[in-house]
Amino acid sequence: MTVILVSSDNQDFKVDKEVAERSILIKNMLEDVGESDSPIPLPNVTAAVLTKVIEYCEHHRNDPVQVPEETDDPRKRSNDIEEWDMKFMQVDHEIILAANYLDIKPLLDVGCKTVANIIKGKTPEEIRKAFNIVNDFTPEEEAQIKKENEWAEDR
Amino acid sequence: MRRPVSPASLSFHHLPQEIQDMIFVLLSRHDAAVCALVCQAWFEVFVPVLLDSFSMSSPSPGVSGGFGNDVDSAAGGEGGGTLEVRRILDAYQRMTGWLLAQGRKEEDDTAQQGFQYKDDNINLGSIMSSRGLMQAPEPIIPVVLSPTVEQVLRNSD
Repeated sequence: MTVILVSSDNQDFKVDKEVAERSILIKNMLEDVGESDSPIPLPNVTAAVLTKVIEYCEHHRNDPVQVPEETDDPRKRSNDIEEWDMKFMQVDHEIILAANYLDIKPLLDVGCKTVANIIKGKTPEEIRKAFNIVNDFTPEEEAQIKKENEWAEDR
Repeated sequence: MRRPVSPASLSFHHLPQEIQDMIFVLLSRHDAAVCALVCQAWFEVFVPVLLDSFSMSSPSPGVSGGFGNDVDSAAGGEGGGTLEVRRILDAYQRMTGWLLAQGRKEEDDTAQQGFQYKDDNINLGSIMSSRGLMQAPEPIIPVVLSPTVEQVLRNSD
């Protein structure tokens, strides 16, 4: 059985029900509506982002449903991302927002971990390059903040 | 008004707080300090994160290490944890004060380019009043601890 998802820019996506139900939002909607062919509007997700989300869900269609993990150590790990997910993940906030809206917890987790991994151990300039961010501090501001930040740079 | 913030492909301001928090717990204090240097938007996001990381941890003397040989007189005799808290709170106050002053300077005096340095120290008072600067870029003006800062310091003991 397939369902039709409609992106915010009115593109239709025909997707296996099993795949679409990786999204808890869609799963709940389908349960509420019952047997129906009517397309499901997703007004918060653009076609570009939805394409990525569906690609992720297709790859993970047979994964067991994630159970809430026990948090034995307070500081979470971010080095346990699957290889496929790592290659897949072109991080921007849009895909993280879509994962949040569609309630796809594993995708949201991978998104956050990927962001953290990109940041870790880098210099500010390397982070700017990674996320395409323009340095809008003046040289004087930067020097001053660096000076104030020395307490953290010490370690 | 602040200068317009540059567009970023990863904009923390577009992420809801609970998602920001999911990312922050994955980062060390050091990573957060580096992030504060990336751009103004990240600075605003990460300085509170840094402050939280200090007020939430329960500092005890000597635990943090690395700061032992850097005892300033203001915090003399206090534990390493308190010293760290005081350092970051001071830094935060001065950074925000200074950035605010920068914004103000640009509004008041857009024609002025660049910034005058230590050579001007003698005339700093007049420069500051003429430019409407609140604080100097260097900590020439002694940092006055506000009640909030004192409170955090007390709680951290």
